[in-house]
Amino acid sequence: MPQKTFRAALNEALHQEMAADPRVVIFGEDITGGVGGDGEADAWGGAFGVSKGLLAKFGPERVLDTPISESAFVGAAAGAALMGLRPVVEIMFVDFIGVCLDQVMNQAAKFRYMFGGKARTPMVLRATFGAGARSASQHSQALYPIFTHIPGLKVVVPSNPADAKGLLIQAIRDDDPVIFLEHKMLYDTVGEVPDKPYVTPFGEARVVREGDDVTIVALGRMVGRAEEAARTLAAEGIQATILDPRTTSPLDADTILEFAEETGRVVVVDEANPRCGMAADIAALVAEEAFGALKAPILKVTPPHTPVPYAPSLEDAYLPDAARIAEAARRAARYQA
Amino acid sequence: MTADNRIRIVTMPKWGMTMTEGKVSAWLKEPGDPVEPGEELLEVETEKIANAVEAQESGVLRRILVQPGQTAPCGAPLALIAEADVTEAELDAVAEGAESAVAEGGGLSTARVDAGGLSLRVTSAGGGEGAPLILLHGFGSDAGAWMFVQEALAQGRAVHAIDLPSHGDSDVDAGVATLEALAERVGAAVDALTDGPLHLAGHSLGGRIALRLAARRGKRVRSLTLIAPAGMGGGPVSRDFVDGFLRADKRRPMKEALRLLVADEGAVTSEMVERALAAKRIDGAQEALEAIAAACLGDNAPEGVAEDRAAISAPVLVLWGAEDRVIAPPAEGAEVLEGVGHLPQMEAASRIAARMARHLEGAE
Amino acid sequence: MQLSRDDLLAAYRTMRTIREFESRVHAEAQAGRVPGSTHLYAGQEAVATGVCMALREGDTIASTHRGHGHCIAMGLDVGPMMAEILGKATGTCKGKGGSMHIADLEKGMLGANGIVGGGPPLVCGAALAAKTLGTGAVSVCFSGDGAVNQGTTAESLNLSMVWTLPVIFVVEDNGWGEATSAEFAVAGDIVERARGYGMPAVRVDGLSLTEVHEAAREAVGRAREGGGPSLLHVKTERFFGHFNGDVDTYRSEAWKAEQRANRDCILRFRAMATEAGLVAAEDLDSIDREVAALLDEAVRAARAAPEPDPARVLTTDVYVSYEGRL
Repeated sequence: MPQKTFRAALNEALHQEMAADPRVVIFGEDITGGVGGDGEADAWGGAFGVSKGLLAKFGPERVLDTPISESAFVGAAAGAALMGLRPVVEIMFVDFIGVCLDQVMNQAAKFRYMFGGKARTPMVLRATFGAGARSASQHSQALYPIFTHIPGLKVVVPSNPADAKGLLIQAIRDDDPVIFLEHKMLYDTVGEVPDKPYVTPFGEARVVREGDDVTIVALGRMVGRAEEAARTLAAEGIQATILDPRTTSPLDADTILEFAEETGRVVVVDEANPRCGMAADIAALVAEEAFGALKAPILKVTPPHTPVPYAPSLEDAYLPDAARIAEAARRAARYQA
Repeated sequence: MTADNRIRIVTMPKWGMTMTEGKVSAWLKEPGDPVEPGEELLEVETEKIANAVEAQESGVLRRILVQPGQTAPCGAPLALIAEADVTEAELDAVAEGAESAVAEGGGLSTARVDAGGLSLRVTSAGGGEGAPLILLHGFGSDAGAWMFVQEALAQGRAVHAIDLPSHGDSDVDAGVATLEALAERVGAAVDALTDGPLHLAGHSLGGRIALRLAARRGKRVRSLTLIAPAGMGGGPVSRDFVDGFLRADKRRPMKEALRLLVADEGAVTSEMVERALAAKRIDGAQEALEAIAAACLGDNAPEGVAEDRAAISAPVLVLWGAEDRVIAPPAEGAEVLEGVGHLPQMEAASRIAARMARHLEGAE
Repeated sequence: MQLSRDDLLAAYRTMRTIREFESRVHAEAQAGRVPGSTHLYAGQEAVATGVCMALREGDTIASTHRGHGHCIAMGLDVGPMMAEILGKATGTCKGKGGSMHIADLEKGMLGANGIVGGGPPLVCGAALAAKTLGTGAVSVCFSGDGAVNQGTTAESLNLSMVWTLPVIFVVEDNGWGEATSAEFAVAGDIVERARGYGMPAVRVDGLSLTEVHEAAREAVGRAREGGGPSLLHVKTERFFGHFNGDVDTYRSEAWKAEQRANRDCILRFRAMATEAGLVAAEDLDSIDREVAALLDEAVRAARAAPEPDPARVLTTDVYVSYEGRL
């Protein structure tokens, strides 16, 4: 099967869905880049190059650059979705949601309920997230818990190229507003990605590997780190299951509970801050519904409750790494009541 | 494998395109143990797969070169099998030579061939003077079904595993669903790969297609190997499997369906489940698979089998798992492998590879 | 362009319906039958009516928290609207939205909006959809003098110019953003703000239905022909307090009496139309009676309607589809 980067997988998904459905339009800041200059057109293809090449194929009517004006264009996506388009908008860093959250939280997310079921808002808001790029506090956050908290939104956090493509295609075809979060440190990772269009459904966790001793639930970039930890653990004789929920809303509670019950020991790895995050949410789920099967406390591996720091020494310490994940899994696996 | 035919080198297998290395998780035999073909020697695991490596030859396990927990690249020597009279010095010499002869990269490559407007993916191994072997996988699967045997069969010949229409990485077309249509497209792909003599092998649905194709390609076909072929079993194709597979849209029901394929249900890994689901989620694949199942795997599956067999002069080998729950083995006419389900080429890879190799040699 | 007699009668019927609807909502609220907040449109009827008369099928509007008038001007039925405000299962939105979220997408009404400044970005999107799909539709954003100070308005004025969108921003300046006067809160000039973006903009007398309509007609025509957005700064009057619980002490009784006597768009319309001999007073009186009967029935039905059943509908309509727990 062809090997592609996470970035190329997303680009292919956009190409295929735009070709398949004329209602799909994309817009965002520098989504082509260079508009108005006398040099190269589509110079950037998005700040991270994900939309490169779409302009040449689909034209400026469907690939629109925007002013730096998130409220206007994210709200426009909501309005356009209500009126029959399937917009895919990009905000360069999810941190910028601060200037346009109303459009997502109070508008797009709520139309259907407020209007008594009469609205469909098939929009996708793509944004990069995550620490590791030395981008400091306003360009590095993992804000998926904020969106997960809001009914009406679906929230996607892909961890690998194949899922990135299938989940983005599902997001574009989905009739509800979808927040699609791309970890910026994953763009250059490579994996098998089928050439043809396909969907990866929402609300279905991927069983990354199976082991009897401990269940590690991880999201986004933390999945790879959990796999690294699992290799270390395996050498020590501890076999870990790794679950990647892939979407935080809907959340595949059934699979998490199934493996929580099988192993009785659960570690949740979350790049988001610890308070009211996914780690806390999943831990609560397991505590509430798999309590009888638990043989150890549910352990969370998260950054501290601080902003994302800048200096490499600080940022590296901030992020959960394989060693911390392995240590938590060891504690859970060896815990004796 | 070695200049000294008395010493056999067991190498790290390559199971599929992306496998570059494997880890020895356990040795199932100890140095000094006699081994027979088909006996499990060791367990190897990768990030995605765990499976046993079986002995291909008889002899004594004389030396283990890679210890449990250690990782080695595909093709790397793992152990030496020889008779008791081979000296330690002779073993040393072979071990040293083998270390330096580790295969670089994998022996598998992929290409696309045009099959009457449909582009089919072909995964190829080996090469040489021998008539090429064409492998056709079963319903809902892909060329990866042959990953445990393909390289072993590629001794002195090319071995091409074709993704059937609407399967694997091949084009999807629900209009290509009947046995005749499938055989015609696969035949076009085969003709694009070789215009000379060839060997054909197929598993399950692929076995039925191989039989039809052999009937259509006449003298060019040197031998035919059918593994649990559809339409030739002791009973119908299991509805539990076909319908369960078609209906499964989530991990658990898919796992239930796939468990029917193997004798040892623990062999169904999450990776296999993921792959099966992913294949069905390709645009159009579900509809195409439903059409193929309706056209080829129902009560009509045995139709034309007798006529096709009558049209074939090449030697035919039929292999079947004794514990096949998808298509029960027939009362006669098949070599039946004990303790094996519907996926002999995966469940008993070494035995199947060895048996097929003999069949091919005999037909040359 | 002169409005025909039929146009005038239709406009009067719409304005009267809005006024009557709001007085009934006020009464229901006073009687404790409205569970939440409502913001009454009374006094501003000529704006919604004059603008929406310039629209055609397929055009869309975004509205505000003070949205009943826009709904009625876009042709929504007053019965379900009243039921919605009373929180009933028969409401426009099944009782899930209430006064601030009445919407009917099939009629081009993209929703009243509880967020001041919520509408401007939405109409940019609706207009983009019209442009991309080639429907020829335009989109109108009603917003108040309060919303002009929201960033969304500034951003949307700019974006609509950058993308040359078929949008008309109608700023209904009733002089009050909640309990704070526009005189205090709005710096500079709203028309000049729009012109700063290079956008055609005019000030309009919101007490004159014909002036509003004429200005809207011109702006809609320009948008429909690809000429891009316009802004109408419409001066109007708010007869009630900000919301049903606002006793409105910040405006004197004398001021309010003078307002109702001299700055009522419906009275002005009556005088204009009858004095010019365009319609007869009896025709208008008969519309008054019909509208009163219509609202009698709307209120009766809304009061009698059942409340939504939590067991059935509390968790429906959140998503189109959802493979998970709610």
